[in-house]
Amino acid sequence: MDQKGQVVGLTKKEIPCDSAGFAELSVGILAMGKALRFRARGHSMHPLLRDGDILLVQPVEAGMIGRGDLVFFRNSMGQIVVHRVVRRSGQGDGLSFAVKGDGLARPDGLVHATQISGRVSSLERDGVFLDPRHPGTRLMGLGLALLAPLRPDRVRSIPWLKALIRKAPLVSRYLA
Amino acid sequence: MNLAEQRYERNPDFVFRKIVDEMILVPIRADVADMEAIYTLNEVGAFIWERLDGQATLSEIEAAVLDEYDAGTDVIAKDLVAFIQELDSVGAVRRA
Repeated sequence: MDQKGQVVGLTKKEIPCDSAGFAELSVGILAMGKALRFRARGHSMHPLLRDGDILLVQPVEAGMIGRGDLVFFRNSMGQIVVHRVVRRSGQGDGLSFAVKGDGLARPDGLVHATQISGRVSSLERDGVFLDPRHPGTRLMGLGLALLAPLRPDRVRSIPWLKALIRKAPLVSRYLA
Repeated sequence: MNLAEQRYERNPDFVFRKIVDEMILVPIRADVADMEAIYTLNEVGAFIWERLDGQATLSEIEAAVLDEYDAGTDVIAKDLVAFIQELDSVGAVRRA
């Protein structure tokens, strides 16, 4: 019998994106060629991506992934992670990527192409949408990722980064 | 037509996966799986879901449930109708 006291039951459910069930389900759906919409959890991609933001992830061929992309992959513990590609190395079966959370001091290490299922194509916060594949957004994100070991106030005072944020009203609104 | 003689089939725009002991349903709209609108079925619900192939009538499905599970005919009949109506309301099934 289910929670509603019925022998037969249908229940709405939330599956946290850091659960094993989410990993199995989401990787399977992306492998079918479908996109995925879900709520992100965690703070490792701050400030571009915050806890509770909605992400849209599209299936992607690893060969199409480049520096600055936000990739959706399974880490060595089997959990789903969305982090930024800061370096691409190797090719063919040896293709791998150095990935890093924008807000983290250290990179995750190398992720093999086979661990990657998708690439983020849209970020949504309070009804504002941002395309993380846009060159300006990628450049800014890459800058944040590489400068993260510095103190946040010093990063925000870097002239070229300030100018970039100022020139992109949507990014400024998104980061507000 | 009597509801018991009707046939329903799963909407192909719903992905379903058995994860551990649960059957999970995820709606696909415009090629996007919405993980914010996931449904789960209990054991009997999953048993019925697997039989919603557009071939079996609801009365045949009800008989299969009664064969498999220890529950009263009245309870199963009432819950089966409510379950199908719920699935229909979220777009998970359609009349065959």
